[in-house]
Amino acid sequence: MPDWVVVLAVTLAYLALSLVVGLASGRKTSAGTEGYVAGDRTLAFLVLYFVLGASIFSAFAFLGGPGWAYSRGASAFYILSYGTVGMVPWFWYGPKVARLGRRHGYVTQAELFAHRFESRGLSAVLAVLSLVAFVPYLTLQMQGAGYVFNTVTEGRIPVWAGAAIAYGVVLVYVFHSGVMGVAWTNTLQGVFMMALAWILGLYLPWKLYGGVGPMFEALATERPEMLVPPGLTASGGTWSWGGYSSAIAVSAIGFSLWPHYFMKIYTARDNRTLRRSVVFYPTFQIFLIPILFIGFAGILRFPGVTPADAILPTILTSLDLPAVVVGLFCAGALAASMSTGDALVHAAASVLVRDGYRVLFRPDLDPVRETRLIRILVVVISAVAYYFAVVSKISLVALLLLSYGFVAQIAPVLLATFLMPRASKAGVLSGLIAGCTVVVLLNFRPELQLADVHPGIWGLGVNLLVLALVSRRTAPPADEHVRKFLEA
Amino acid sequence: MPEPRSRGRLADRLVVAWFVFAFLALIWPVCLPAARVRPLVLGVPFSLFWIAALLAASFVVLLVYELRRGGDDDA
Repeated sequence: MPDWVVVLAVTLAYLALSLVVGLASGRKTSAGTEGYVAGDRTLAFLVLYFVLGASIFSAFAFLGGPGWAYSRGASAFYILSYGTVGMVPWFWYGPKVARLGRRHGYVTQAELFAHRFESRGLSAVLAVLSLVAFVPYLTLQMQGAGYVFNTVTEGRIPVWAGAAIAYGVVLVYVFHSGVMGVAWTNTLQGVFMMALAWILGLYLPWKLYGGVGPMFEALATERPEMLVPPGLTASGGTWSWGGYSSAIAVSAIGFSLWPHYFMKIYTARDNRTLRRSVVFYPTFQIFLIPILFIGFAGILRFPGVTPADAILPTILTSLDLPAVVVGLFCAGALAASMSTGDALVHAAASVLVRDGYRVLFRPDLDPVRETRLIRILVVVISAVAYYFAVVSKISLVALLLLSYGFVAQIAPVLLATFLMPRASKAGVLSGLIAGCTVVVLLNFRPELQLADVHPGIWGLGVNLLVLALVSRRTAPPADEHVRKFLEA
Repeated sequence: MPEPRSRGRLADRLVVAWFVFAFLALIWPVCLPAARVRPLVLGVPFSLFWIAALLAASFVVLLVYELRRGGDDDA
């Protein structure tokens, strides 16, 4: 039997397992929105732990991480750095958000903020912001999945068909099981990703250099510039400290605020579960270290691989590994793509219906109809992202760069919700819009970026300033209302 | 002997201070002394060891804080 058939069989077996787990997991939740979007607030520690780990580590971490280490050296350390502190704020504000969610029935991020500032406009702006951030991100995951299929079958399955197969499976289990499908498949995918990252990350340096130590010893002698932050840029020059540090800062600030991620707070069974998932998060995060080892292993032994993201498949195919092992790697890369993609599809549909359509047009929408509408949107959003991933020639990469800056702009809204009693509706809304405008402007006019600092940081400065100034000149919500949030 | 409540407040402040330090230690200029290849520690360059050590220490700090605070606050 040809190797590619074995590899494909292993990959399809993984997809079948994901489908079975995804379909089986949705049987016990209630029929309404609270069941479909928040899993009836019943997730226990282990599942939540894997949801938090797997939904943030995407195809970018699994393929892009080694690619960065291979081509840009220590600049890849920024990926490891921001997660070190990015999750920690959840430890304090997560239980407050969860408590308010149980009390007022929130299932999305915007519901909390819109209630706090009594603003339908804020809900709509956040819904649009979420969609702008999600679709390019989702598109990238689909392309990653298609690329994996294309590689494992040596070009026999085109990218469009590969993306369709993987995301067909995602569509079925998200449509059927909602967040429980996302949660249980993320558990399976998380175990898979972690196991493969550690096995490959330790095996490849051993096979190519005799161990991790000898590998870095060789690199320290021959390419020391690859091991010192801030590392290199994509074009091979030295990355600036401003660029490196601000990339860490903006990603750390936005990390826990991604709306699809934030929503998982509402799924936790209780506050202890939530806090302990945050405490143990670094044990997942540390799997990025062996992921980076893979990229470093390629620098001296496989020079000149382009694109750099192909370094892992290139090493694997050149080592004559058993086909089953290569198949498991492909399943791991698919797991990374799907575990992020499913959460994005689910969240995008939920946010559009719950924070957009319901708030603006149908406040009386009953939970069963609302869930039906979310399911329809799951199909529509998957189709739109698929179109951009494999049909359209329009690149969404520019939007992806914007999205990280946009998500960071939610941080002042969160601060105002829990710590700023004087903050007004007009203040947060105008701050948010001003911050996002700065991010857009600086992305399109990079020459205006002082010291190479990320547009999101400048946006945050303007956002906070406008929030404070406008709030001073406008009336805050009533004291009694504000206290419900400050004292939650 | 400080009161339990003030001990709790001190622990809160220490934990917050640790994470502020951990964040600053990852970026310019605090990370500058760690931005070097040698010595290799546990086989990895010092720059990578520094980040991994901050991650590990942050895990321990939050774990101890969570275990010591005890009880639950679900309402």
